[in-house]
This record gives sequence, C-alpha cells and structure tokens, in this order.
Amino acid sequence: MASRRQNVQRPASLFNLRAYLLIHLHTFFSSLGRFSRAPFNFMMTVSVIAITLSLPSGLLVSINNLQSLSGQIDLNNNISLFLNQTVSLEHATKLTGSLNTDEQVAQAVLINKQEALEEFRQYSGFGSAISTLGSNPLPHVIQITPIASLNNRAALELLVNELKQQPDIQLVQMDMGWLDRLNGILNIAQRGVSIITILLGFAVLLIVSNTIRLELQNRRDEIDITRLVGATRAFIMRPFIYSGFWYGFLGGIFACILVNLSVWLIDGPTSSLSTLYNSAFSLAFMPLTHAILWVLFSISLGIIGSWIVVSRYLSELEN
Amino acid sequence: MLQFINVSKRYPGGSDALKNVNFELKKGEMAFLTGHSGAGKSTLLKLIAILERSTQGQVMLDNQNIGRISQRNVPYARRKIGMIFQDHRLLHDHTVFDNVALPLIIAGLDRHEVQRRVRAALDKVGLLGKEQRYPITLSGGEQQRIGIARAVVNRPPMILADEPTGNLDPALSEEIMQLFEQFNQVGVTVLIASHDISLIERMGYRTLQLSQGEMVSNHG
Repeated sequence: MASRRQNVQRPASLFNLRAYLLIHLHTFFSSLGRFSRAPFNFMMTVSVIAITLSLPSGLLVSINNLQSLSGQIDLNNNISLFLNQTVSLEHATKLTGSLNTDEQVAQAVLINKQEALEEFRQYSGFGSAISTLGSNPLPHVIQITPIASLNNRAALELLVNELKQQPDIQLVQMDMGWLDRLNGILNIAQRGVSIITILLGFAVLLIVSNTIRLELQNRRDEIDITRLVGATRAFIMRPFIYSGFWYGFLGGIFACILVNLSVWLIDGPTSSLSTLYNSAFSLAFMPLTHAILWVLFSISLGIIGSWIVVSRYLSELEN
Repeated sequence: MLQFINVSKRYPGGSDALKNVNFELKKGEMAFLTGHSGAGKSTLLKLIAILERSTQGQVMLDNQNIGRISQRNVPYARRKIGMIFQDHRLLHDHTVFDNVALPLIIAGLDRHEVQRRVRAALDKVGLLGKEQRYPITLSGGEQQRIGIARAVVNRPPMILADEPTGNLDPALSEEIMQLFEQFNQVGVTVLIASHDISLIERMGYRTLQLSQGEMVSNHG
C-alpha cells in the first residue's frame, strides 16, 4: 500500500513536460469548444473589443496616410526665384535656359514681369492704382520644378541654398510653411491617438474582466469542485486565461479587418478626388507589422484582464 | 494518519464551532463522526479538507500539520483525501467518465493511465458501462457512486465522507456503506460523518461524537 501511494504522488511532484503540454493543449481547445456552445455571447464580446480597438488603430492608419500624402505634396513643390529688379528680360531668359539644363531641375519657366503686371492689372482690380506707378514694381520670376528624385526636405533645402548663392536671384521661396503646420497638426494627432489607445486599452481590459467575471460566476460550482479534488491555482486559472486569450486574439483580428475594410471603402472616393488634383495618391492599408502589433496588444489585454479577475476571485476563496 | 491535537475553531463573530478537540485515526482505521446539526461536524471536516483553518491546535494529516501549510501546498495535501459529499457535487455538464477522471487530469496523468484507472474505479462501484452517460440521467444512488469513484480514483490514503447516505433509502445506504468497508479492507483510512444512528450501530465501528463543539464520546 505504501509503495502504491508513492506512485500516486509521483506525476504531480515530478515536472512532466509532456503531460503539462497536453493539459495546455486540452484547455486551449476546450476553451474554444465552450465558446462554440454559446457563440452569440462570445461574438458579442469579441465585437465590442474589435470595435473599441478599431478606433485607435483606424486613427493611426489615417494619420499614416495623411503623412504620406504630405510627403507627396513635398514632391510637387515648386520653387519660385524672384530675380533682382535690374535683371533684364534677356538675361532672365538666359538664366532660365541654363537652369533648364541643371540636372536637379525638371523644368524652369520664366514669368515675364511685364506679362505678370498685365495679368495682375487685369485680375486684381487694382488696375488704376498700378497705372499711377511710374515703373513696374514686379521682378521677373522663374518657377522651378525640381526633379522627382529630390523627394525630401533636406535635398530640397540644399538646392534652395545653392540657388540663393546666385547673384541675380534676390529671393528663393519654397512655401513649405503650411506643410510644417500640417506636420505639426499630425504630431498632435499622433499624441492624441496614443492617449486614446491607452484609454480604450483600459476599456478592453474592463470588457474582458467583466466577461470573465460572469463566466466565473456561471462556473462557480465547477471551480469549487475542482478545488476540492486538489486542483492547483494554475489549473483553475488556465481555462479562463485561455478565454481571455481568445477574446483578445479574435477581437484584435476583427479590429484589423474592420479598419482595412473602412480603408477599402474610403479608397475609391479618395482616388477619384486625388485624380482631380492630378495626383496618383491612394490610401494605404494597415501594414502587416502594425496589424501583428495590434493583435499582440489585444491578446495581452485579454490575458491580463482575465488574469486579474481570476486571481482576485481565487484569493477571496483561499484562507 | 489523522490526528487532532487541542483543536479549537472560532468563527469571526465569536461562536466556538470546535472546543479543544482531540482524537486520532490510525492508518487503515474506519470510524464514524456523529452529532446533531450545529455540533461542529462540518467544521471538523472543513478543517481536514483545509477549507477552514483552526484557530488553535494542530490538525495532522500523514504527519503534516495541514493547518499551517502554505496556500500553494494546499492542493497537494487535498489530493491525499478522497472527499464524498451528501449532494454528490458532480459536474453535470460532463460525462460520468469526465467526472471520475477529474482528479487524475488535475494530477497530470497521461490519457491511457487515466482511462485505465477510471475504468477500474467505476468497476469497483459497479458503474462500468455508464462512462458516457451524464450524471443527471442516473439515479441518486448511482450519482453517489460516481462521487465515490471520483474520491478513490487516485487511490488516496484517506476517504472523508460527509453524510454520504443522507438522501438514500436504507437498502442503498447499506450498499454504499459496504463499499466504504471494501475500501477500508484494502488499507484506506475512512471517516464518515453521519447522523444515521441505527446504521452506525449496526455496523459497529468506532464512533466519534460531537456535541456543541466538544468531543463527548470517542470509542470503538
């Protein structure tokens, strides 16, 4: 009898990896099986998590798209060269020609100051005021379109500085101020998304906690019985932790699907709008790495949420 | 096997559930625990199952002071006791097999061993062939047998039964008691809480009697 008794004890005290993994595998799928018996409740919780998480992840996708849009505007940015008043039309034409041969310049167009004045007189409504001026106050202007490979600010600014060195050029203007402001706004928006993510992350934590709490109450008897026949804390917690995992995992995946579905729905109108602006811009979907991070984030919220509730519940039972 | 040394239990609020209780159950002994309701029977059983801790004194199980073991070790101490309840405490959404297998799955035994032992336990209580039934489809006596099979399936050195025949008619009660005798004959220590005095007297085992928290009689 004594030796038989020892045999009973052995599997529990010896760390049996295979049995341990089998238990995990069993719980993993049985927790899924439990959901299949109450699919409506399960999908409701998953949907709430998905919708909650789709808000911050969707905002992040929007910001990323706006950032890439502002990057594209950079590319199309023209540089205006205001020449000195003393420069003659002939010289300005020559300068335009030489700029056109510059390998950094895609196109240089001269705006004749005489033509510009006529145009201004015609459209501005200051016609008579301009007539009283003795001479033409406008300088010749050359408009430069940089080549497409100059697609970042630093390179563009280098070109601007180069042009500033030329003696005939009085002012080089590249209007990027509004881009800076847009980027500033985007930075604020990004910060806002971080805050929303934290808040809604807590919301998901509470959703999972509450769902698991209800599940705990429904299975109170089962927990009591398993405790009485010698179940460890880990054994009792495991199925609930897996429930949390599934809630987080599926909630995260559905959130990503929701966001990409929205991008897909908005992409059509966006493309037709951007063709009106002669741009080939189209919305980008959520990058895969982001999607994976969101799902991992959601899984950890699910696991932490259930862990907190179950360990609290068990601590109350213990003496 | 089981020893109570000057054990007292006072619940918060001031009532003394047990007062200075002393007794010992030797390995392989079988005994009954009696007393009116409120005498302290369930408190005594709860102390053995470590559902409560004593306020004073020592509860020794298998030479271990289970009143003082850490929470982490409680499950392992509980595995030394097979517990049987008046209301069976079965999982009604699980089959008979799953119910009986529970202690083995908790202990992490592999599938073949689980199957072998569950069948052996069910054979002993006469329920072989009903593994795939649900408890609710079986009679009260059969449900109690499932509870007994679950209690003995991992071959604990001690069986603790709380009013195991409370809801059964005399004939069924007799059968259940015979089962306990059989386990006792192979060396298992058995403690049965019951107030079925006639049955206890007929069986003629040692009887521990509690009254108002005190052990008033302790003889065989």
